[in-house]
Amino acid sequence: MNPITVFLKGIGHTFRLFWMWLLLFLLIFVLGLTVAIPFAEVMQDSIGNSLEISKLLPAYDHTVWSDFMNAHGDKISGIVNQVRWMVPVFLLAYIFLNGGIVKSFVTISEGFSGQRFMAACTQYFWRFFRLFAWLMLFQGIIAVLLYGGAFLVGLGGDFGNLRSEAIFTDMGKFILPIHLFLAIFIAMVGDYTKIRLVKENKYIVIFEFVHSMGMCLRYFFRTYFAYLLDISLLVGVYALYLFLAPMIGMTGKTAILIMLMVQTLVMFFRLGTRLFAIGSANVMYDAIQQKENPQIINEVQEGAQTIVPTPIVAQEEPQADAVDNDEFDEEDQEHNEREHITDWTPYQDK
Amino acid sequence: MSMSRYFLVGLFFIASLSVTYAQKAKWDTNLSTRIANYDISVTLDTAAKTLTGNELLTWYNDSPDVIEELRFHLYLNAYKNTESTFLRGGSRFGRLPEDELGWGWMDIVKMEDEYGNDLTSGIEFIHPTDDNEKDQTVIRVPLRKPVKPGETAKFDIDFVSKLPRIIARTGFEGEHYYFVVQWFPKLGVYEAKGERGAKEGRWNCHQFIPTTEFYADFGVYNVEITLPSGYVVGASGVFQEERKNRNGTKTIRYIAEDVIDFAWTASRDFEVIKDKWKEVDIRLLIQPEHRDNAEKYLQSTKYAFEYLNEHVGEYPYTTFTIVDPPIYGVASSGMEYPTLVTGLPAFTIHDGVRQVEMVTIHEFVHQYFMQMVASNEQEEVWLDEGFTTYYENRIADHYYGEKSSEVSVGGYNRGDGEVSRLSYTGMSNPRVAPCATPGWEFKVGNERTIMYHKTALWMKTLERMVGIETMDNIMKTYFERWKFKHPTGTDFIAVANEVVTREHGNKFGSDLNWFFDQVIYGTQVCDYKVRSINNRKQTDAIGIFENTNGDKRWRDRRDEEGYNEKIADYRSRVLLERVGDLVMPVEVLVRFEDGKEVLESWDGEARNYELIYERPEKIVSVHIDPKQKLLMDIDLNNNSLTTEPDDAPVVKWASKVLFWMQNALQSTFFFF
Repeated sequence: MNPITVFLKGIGHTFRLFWMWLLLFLLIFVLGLTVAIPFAEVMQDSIGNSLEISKLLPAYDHTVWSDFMNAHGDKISGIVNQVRWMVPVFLLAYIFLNGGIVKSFVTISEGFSGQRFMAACTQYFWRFFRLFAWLMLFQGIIAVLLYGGAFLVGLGGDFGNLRSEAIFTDMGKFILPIHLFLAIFIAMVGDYTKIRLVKENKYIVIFEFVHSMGMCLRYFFRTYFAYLLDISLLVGVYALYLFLAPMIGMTGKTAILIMLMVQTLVMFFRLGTRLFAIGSANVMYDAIQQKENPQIINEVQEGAQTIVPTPIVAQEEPQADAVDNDEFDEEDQEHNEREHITDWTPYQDK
Repeated sequence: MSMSRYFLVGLFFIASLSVTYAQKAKWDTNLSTRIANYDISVTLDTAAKTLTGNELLTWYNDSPDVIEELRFHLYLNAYKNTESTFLRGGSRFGRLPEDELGWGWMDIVKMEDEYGNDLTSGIEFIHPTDDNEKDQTVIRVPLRKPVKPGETAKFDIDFVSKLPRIIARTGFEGEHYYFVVQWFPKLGVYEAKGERGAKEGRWNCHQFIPTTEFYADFGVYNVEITLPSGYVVGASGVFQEERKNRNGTKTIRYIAEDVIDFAWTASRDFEVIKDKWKEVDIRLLIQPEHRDNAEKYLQSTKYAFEYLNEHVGEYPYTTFTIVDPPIYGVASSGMEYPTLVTGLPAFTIHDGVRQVEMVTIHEFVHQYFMQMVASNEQEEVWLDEGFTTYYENRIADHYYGEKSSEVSVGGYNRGDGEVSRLSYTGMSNPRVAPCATPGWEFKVGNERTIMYHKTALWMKTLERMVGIETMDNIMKTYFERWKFKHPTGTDFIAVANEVVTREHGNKFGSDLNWFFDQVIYGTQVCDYKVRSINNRKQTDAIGIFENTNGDKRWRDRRDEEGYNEKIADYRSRVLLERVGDLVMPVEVLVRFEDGKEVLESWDGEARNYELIYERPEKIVSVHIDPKQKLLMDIDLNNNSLTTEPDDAPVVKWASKVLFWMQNALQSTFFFF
């Protein structure tokens, strides 16, 4: 359960799902093109034939840009409006796709299947949407508690009591690191909750969140360190980009094309770091389950799906309100066949 | 004299030095006609936020008229209630105070002339500007004994001023900060017939309008301030002495000579930093948490000193004080008073964001245009704010870079002059009002853009049109001729016409009134455009031409041999358009594919103007105003056209948009 090993395995799993990674990237790239291409057309049609536009090649020129926006801003505003709705819609789409992403990691030993991917997207969408809502709520509560608390303590709840801006940095030195720490922790628990929702086919999101939080707290340093490795990789990618960008510049067509490729790679790897986090969370989850329930683990192999089978005991009929969906469906059938269970019971966790 | 007596004399001398510290003025004669002179002693009550004072006004009647009444500004009454003209201007001044202590007012307790006549009962509020009967910022005081031409009259005034919470320029905040301006009964300006266009002698004493500032005569201010010890004080003029009183207060005296106003400040928190520019003592009163900005304040001030002394005229005073307000007193920031200005409270601001420097430079320039050249800030706001903005732009761009003087952070650069231009050219309605509109007639809140930035922009255009040396000569002449006086816009125009004619003859016409009529008194907008370039290759057969023998023959135009006309390869047509309604003569640069260039002149009057060329080479580009003299043009991008566009800039910025868009999309799932 070495976090570095787990993280590297997560990266390895992501590369095994390269086609999924690439398709997701292409989706984002194409959405970006739907904004960039109209923008280029507006710019070309309006000032493309002006001598002034050449001033935008070596660097940003405020006069040229502002005159362009003043004269043609109405056309740009259409593009801006498009971005305004595209971002929240994309977020919904990402929540939808998350089901397939997590399922693909959970069934990594079976390889990537587009059909399974799309089925999982549909199957888990509402649960992931609820999880998203819970996560946003928790993030909001943390922010309100921290910054609201600082406002009450530092300013007595009234900006009129502000005597010096130094209070912002004095309090910020403590609050910002705490906020960052907690925000990352909540996001990490969210990833583990997704793994759990898919692996265990659970439905009550908040219960699984609490369960995942407990697990993360029990193995706090390992889980958090692995997550920090992922964030560090993301920061490193951007640091490298910011280092390279001035060297490449964008003052000629060749340099522009090189930069376009560099930026594309940066975006590809940025998406990758998100997938690495989910992948390593999946590996860590399996390792933790292996550690906590070694006696009833049937198979312990790299990449194998680890299942905790329900002990065969007499069980009561499932309560109607205990699960969201107690209809016997295809997945339950598959599950029973896989587990050689002949008595039908809805799959439950103890 | 015995040794002990020498010792006592020496001790007395040393002791007197610790009590009295006075700088002598640099000049031996008055700089101005000292019309309104004030001896004021005032006590600040920090609990009640009041100033209780006595003012001895010595007024010199330099007009040919017998003056039968005086008019005063009681500016603090603008903060008395929401019915004042100032506060009816509304919510732009932020949150109004919610308790009685937060409001301001000014009362004259007693007014007597030097003969002992009590004038108090005759005081009445008047409303010369907007007929708001509830406004109490101007009073008239009938005199028992009129003041004859050339006479000097004295008036003894007891007053009480209640300072408001700082919502605009003046007042207090908490227990720690006082910024005290327009705090005493201030005499208006009597303008004789012919002065500033007056058709007959009149008092110029406007109500306090939200979109305007102040106007007063020059004089000497001898001011004594008593306040609790423990406050650091800054004021206009020169510090004279400080006396500690037995009741825990101290009394500080300042003298300001040849100034139009007197402002002061007090705070328990100020740190004092002293510096010097040549013989001028610079004093920076700064909040401890803004200490990092000290160098920005001081360096920008010195730049402004250096530049204006070289390009406009000498700064004659021996002191200059910069006040750095605390964040909760930000409504007192960015203002100018004689030899004292307020800067901008800024905390941990990036060195590449130069708002502190820009504000400091702007307020310093006001020492020239507002203080020394004391135009009427209410009737002709453009004459001081516009001129000041013009020099702010020049100084900032000169020392910090034309394209980066205001902001230079991470590849994002903006120049101060650039931003000033764009403030005007980016207006949704740049025709909203002429520059010459009196301040109180601006109804829609665009006064700042028109009076500050449009004025600065046409001044910059004038500079590029006539050349910077001529522009400097215009401003130097204007400054020398009108310092310590009250000029009008027509006075400035007269100076400009005089200097330009002297240096350029009739190059720009018999005078520049055609220019000033449009930019100062008109609302015309400038926009020139290259509409099209058309290069037509002449390959078609044209028709019948005479050969050298005079015989008519049919021919193809390419076949020139034996024919009278030589035929060019291209017939190129350029169409220029005057889109806007401002007319300016412009240059047009036409460039051909062999690299040759032709510079044409166009008077800029016609709506459409055509240039035709028949040459072997075709036109590759046309540029109206290639040197960008005409900065008032609201769209510089359409001033040029090329037949060989480079699409690299479009590809570059489109790829940036692609990158940013992908970042934005991926950021949505940063925490999910």
